[in-house]
Amino acid sequence: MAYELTDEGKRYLRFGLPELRLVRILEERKEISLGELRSSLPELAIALAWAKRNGWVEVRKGKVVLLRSPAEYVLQQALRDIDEGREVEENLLELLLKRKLVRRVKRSVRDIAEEQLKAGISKLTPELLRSGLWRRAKLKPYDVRVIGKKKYPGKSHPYRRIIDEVRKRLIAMGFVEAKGPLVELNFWNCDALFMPSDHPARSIHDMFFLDHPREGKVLDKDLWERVGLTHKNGWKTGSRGWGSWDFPLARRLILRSQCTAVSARKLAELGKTGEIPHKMFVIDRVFRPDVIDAKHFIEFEQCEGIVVGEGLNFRHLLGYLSEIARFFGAQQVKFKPSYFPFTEPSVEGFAYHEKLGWIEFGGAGIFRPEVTLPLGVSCPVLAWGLGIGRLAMLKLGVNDIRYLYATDLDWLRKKGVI
Amino acid sequence: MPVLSYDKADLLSLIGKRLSDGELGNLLSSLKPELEEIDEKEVKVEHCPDRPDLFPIEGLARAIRFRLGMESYKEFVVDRPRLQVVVKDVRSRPFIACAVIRGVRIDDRYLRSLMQVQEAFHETLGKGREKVAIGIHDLDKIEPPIEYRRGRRDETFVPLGEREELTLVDVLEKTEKGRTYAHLVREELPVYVDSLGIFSFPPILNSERTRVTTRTKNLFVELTGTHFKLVNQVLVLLATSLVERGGKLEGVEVVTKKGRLVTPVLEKREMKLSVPKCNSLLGLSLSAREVASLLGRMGYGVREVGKDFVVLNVPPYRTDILHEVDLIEDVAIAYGYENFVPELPNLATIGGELEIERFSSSLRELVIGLGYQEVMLPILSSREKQEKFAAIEGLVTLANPVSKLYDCLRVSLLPGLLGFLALNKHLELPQRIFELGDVVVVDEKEETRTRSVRKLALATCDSDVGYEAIASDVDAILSSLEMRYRLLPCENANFIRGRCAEIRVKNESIGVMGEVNPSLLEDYEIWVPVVMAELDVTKLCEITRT
Repeated sequence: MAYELTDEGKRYLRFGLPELRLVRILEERKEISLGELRSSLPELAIALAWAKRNGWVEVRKGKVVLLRSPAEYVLQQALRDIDEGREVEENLLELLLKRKLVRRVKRSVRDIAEEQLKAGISKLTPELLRSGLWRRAKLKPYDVRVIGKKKYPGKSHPYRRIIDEVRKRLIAMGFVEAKGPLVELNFWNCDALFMPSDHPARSIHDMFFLDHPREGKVLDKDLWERVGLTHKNGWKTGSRGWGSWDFPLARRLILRSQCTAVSARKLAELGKTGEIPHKMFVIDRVFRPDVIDAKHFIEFEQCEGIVVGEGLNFRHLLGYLSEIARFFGAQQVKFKPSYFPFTEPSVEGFAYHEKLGWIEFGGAGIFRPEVTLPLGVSCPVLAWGLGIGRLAMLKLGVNDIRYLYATDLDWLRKKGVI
Repeated sequence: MPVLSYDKADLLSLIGKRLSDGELGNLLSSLKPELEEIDEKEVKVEHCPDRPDLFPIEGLARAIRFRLGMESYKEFVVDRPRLQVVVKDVRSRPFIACAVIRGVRIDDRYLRSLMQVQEAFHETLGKGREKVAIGIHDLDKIEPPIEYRRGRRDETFVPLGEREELTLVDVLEKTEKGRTYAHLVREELPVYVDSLGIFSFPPILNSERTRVTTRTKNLFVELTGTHFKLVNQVLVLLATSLVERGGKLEGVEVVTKKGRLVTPVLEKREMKLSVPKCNSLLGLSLSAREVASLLGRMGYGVREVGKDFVVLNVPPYRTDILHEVDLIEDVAIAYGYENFVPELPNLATIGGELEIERFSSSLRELVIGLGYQEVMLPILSSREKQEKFAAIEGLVTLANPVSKLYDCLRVSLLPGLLGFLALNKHLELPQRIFELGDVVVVDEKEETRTRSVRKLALATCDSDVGYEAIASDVDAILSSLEMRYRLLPCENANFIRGRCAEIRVKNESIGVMGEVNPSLLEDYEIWVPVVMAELDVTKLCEITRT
């Protein structure tokens, strides 16, 4: 930035700053009345203000009295320096700017460009472009093969991108996204899904139980009773039931071991509101004790969905499964019988992968009446689950589940976004 | 799911038909088990837990014979008991069920099958022998009367595979099986005794004396356990499969204080299936006759075929059949899943995403725009790390953690980010990472006494990073959300004093940011300054909606 003197500044450069002139006058006669001074010094007000501030003079009974006179005045020197293009201290410059003795000047673009050319600039600049002087600039060729500092853009997690893609596709198919608590009542996670109290998947080896807090609340007593009776004797579902039900176990708090718990909650809600037909999906974390290695971790994502409506049947279930597999690029699908405690019939879907052959992509079934009727839903409910972690690993080309919850920044930085 | 391997030649001979590997694989998978591996000698099969009747090789072969139409339903006959077992006071495994099979011809394959099926049931329904333990003996080596009672610690017998007599305590200490299962008999030592002494020490070992060999003609099968229903169920599964190899099943009278009972108890069940219900659930239009024929191929007995219903005998080993829908699945399996034509129903619904997810996506876009890399970390964390960030309500902790590293749920994302930075110290700076994820806090008002909260955490690790860097990023985020916020200096042990601010929107605390306390960095062995922020996304989302 460049500076120049204003007209006032130029005058003071020539004749001296008013406060300095005042002092010089006083140096001859130590005391002079204000009236007298006014005639010899037109800028008396300015002069007095600054001289007083500098501690040079005092006004006593209408007379100005000299206290001390400065040998040199830095501000006067600063005026000269600016006029001659030298740099001055920041505080002096600010003072002069404030007194409007100095102003900022824009140098002409051409001047700047000229200077840049003189300095032997190697880059194209706005000044060179505007002034047209770029024609005289010598822009040397670079080694265009050299890349400077490596940059890592902010990106979403590769697994997140896959999850988001699945979400979008399910929403496009008319599914409404749902969510449920991570800490779950055993009731919603298992009992409402007609998993017997002594089911192997309910042991301490297969589910995380909470130490604090330990028990959840029974909000809908009637529902709990219906579910309990269904376990004991089938209630009104036409089932023989399991012969027993462990109520204290149902009240225990656990970490959700399957997203089907969210489906159970949704069905209970639909049972009350009657908002049928309905399609729901959830993609969220579940927890299961396991050894921790390349193939196993103790928490992972599950993707589940239900379709609730009158007249739905097994062929429709296979229809949804085929459609979902098609989304993942499977040209061929096949189905085989399977087992889930809460569905009957149950099915497992396999999709054909060019390199890996037939891979299992998900399990599905029609919820048992022992599940739906106590929750207040009397029409068929198609339920499916997708091995989203496995599909993601396949897509990301990794065979270690730990990449999905990667702690390797290098991998995240370098992984592409396709 | 249990994976069992079978002798291929034995399986084929029990089926009674030559089958190629491909045919066998297809047959298995059209039932429910999955063929894992097959070679010259062995067939490895992964089973579904709902069909334990298929675990024994004989049961598997039987199902395939039904499927191929080589066999049809027959009732199992249990001959009148000739043998009696008196049950004395055994408290830890009070329930027993026994059976006799006479006239068996035992070869090496039979022996192998016996071993395997016991193993399979011990591990699955028996829950590692805790709920059910099985012993199979040479009946002719047993001298009645038979008693099931508590043994004395110094009582002796020659356990299977040993040469000398051992006391019961020695069996627990000196044999491999004893050491493996000793935890199941802490209370008392249950034994089966005949007039010659102990011949079984359930759930540990049988005796050498009653060992089953290729010369054995008659089998005595005894089970002990914690629930009669389960003990009897396993005996039924075992006995009905063993008799497929020949021999006659004979009951055993079990005498307890409460009375007498002949085991195995084979239930005779009849079920009625509505054909319209079946068709409507499967999306087919089968006639009653077709349904009956399909179920016949699944091993059911057809009692009656009505106009729109079928009455069936359910084999006693099909303990998985609870409801009509279980029969309907078997219709589908017999029909063949490959024969169903998939179809999308005409069922219009409007899809939609959750507000919190939509909001999270917007935030994610902003934070990525600021140059942060997203990370996804476990929700399980360690108390040691989370306690510093916990509120007075405390942490959600596990009763059965698998590791101290994961013994609670996180209340803050910040320890995770610090842990992540600690693992990547060797990589170029700056490191800018963020996570958008759930934490769980204790909340007595909730049904689950806890509540999941969505949070956003940012961290920058760089040699000259300072408070203003995180403050300007947080400002960028909140300004982009068109949110007016206030910053209050706050005391937080995780941050440097005087370099930490509480972030407030509409007078509600929605987060914290600052320069990480060097003592915390030391804990994580991070030797470069770190600034962090954590925002409550659930609250922010609620605020934007109001």
